[in-house]
Amino acid sequence: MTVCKSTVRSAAVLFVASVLGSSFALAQAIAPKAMQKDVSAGALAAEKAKMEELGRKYKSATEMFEALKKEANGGKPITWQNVPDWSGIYVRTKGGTAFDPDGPPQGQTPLAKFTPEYKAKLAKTVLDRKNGIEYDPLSQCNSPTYPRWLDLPFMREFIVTPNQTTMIAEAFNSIRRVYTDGRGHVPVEDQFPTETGDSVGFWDGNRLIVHTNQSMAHMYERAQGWYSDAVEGVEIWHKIDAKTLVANVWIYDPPALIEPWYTRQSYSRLENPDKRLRINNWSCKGNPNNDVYETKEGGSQHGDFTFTKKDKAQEKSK
Amino acid sequence: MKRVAVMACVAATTMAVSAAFAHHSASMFEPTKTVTLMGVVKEFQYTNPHSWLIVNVTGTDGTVTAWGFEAEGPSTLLRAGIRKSDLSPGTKLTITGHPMRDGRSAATWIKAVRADGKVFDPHAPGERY
Repeated sequence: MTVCKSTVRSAAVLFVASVLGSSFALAQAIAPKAMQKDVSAGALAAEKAKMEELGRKYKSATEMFEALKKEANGGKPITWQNVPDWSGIYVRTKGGTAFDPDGPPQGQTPLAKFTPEYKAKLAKTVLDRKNGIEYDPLSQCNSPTYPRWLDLPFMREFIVTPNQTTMIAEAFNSIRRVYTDGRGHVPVEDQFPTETGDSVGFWDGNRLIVHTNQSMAHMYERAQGWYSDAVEGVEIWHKIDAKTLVANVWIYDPPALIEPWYTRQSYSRLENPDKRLRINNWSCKGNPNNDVYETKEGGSQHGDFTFTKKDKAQEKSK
Repeated sequence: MKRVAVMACVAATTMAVSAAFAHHSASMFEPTKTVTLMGVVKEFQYTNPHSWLIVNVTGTDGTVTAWGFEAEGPSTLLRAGIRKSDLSPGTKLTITGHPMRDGRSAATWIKAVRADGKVFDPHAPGERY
């Protein structure tokens, strides 16, 4: 276990070093003792602070993405000969459905720096949740949109090909396509919001750097805050060991966030020895017992159940 | 149908038991109360986004009430080690859940114990939303 954690830790430190070019981080990466110190809360907090600082260096996700691309000399396309193996079925490693896996649990106010308007909106939903009043637009199987896609529960698949990486979430049949064939985003005058946004990226070694824009306003999660349709994100994906995919994520959203919200998302590959696990279609229409509507008070309520209806019908026929 | 004695036990608890779902809020359920019932499986609706275990519960007066126990979808149940065939119609069990606030015969599924003693916790390892 210690070895495993050390490996994860050292990979993370190496990543910080490579992104930040920080001599401090590099020194940590090459010092065995530092590696063996493992993931103490203090080390994690320091690492997170550095990532947050990196995000603050740039005014927008576009600026950050372009800077990373320049640092990587434009990136190097992968080929069928060196496609990384991201196969298998994954689930989110930790955090439940809180957007920040390293932040307060869902139900407590997240640490992101929201603008006053969005902060007030968040405070209300946190309070309402404590009072048992809560509604999620996902109840109608609406798309979670990006970046909520990142914190969805349930299973995922990642299909890597030289020109495109496809990210599939079981929940809501939600699919992201990251184009890595060198194309840019659609010209600004032709852009329109889509449910998972428009994602382009490039490869820098075994890391996939992604820029996503043109998403739709939504909530990060219940009582986790809201984002506007101006939301954009930069993600750096890499596989840190045989079973773990990590995405370092910076979310930019000037109407809602005073500064970028950095989070470290991770996904663990599931053991599937008997091949029983497979991603099935999601449909809210498949079972009427799953109908949920919003109450006048802003809460959630189930619609009529088939099992209670049937019983009533049976009673009447007697 | 074979008649089964009901053990309806509604208890208030201060346990920090999860009463949440990933697809919709669980605010329609009472997180501080639990209900425990003995019954017979009528149907296992093994569906996305949520599964429902429908259990017939026979009251002391002989009245049969169908209760629905909500869980996550098939992939979560499989990860929790629960296959559809584990709880086929006719299976006798004792099941516990958080009941609905409005009094209808439905609850979130916390734990079920089959007559042979096997326990079915519908949460995947490490996952409670």
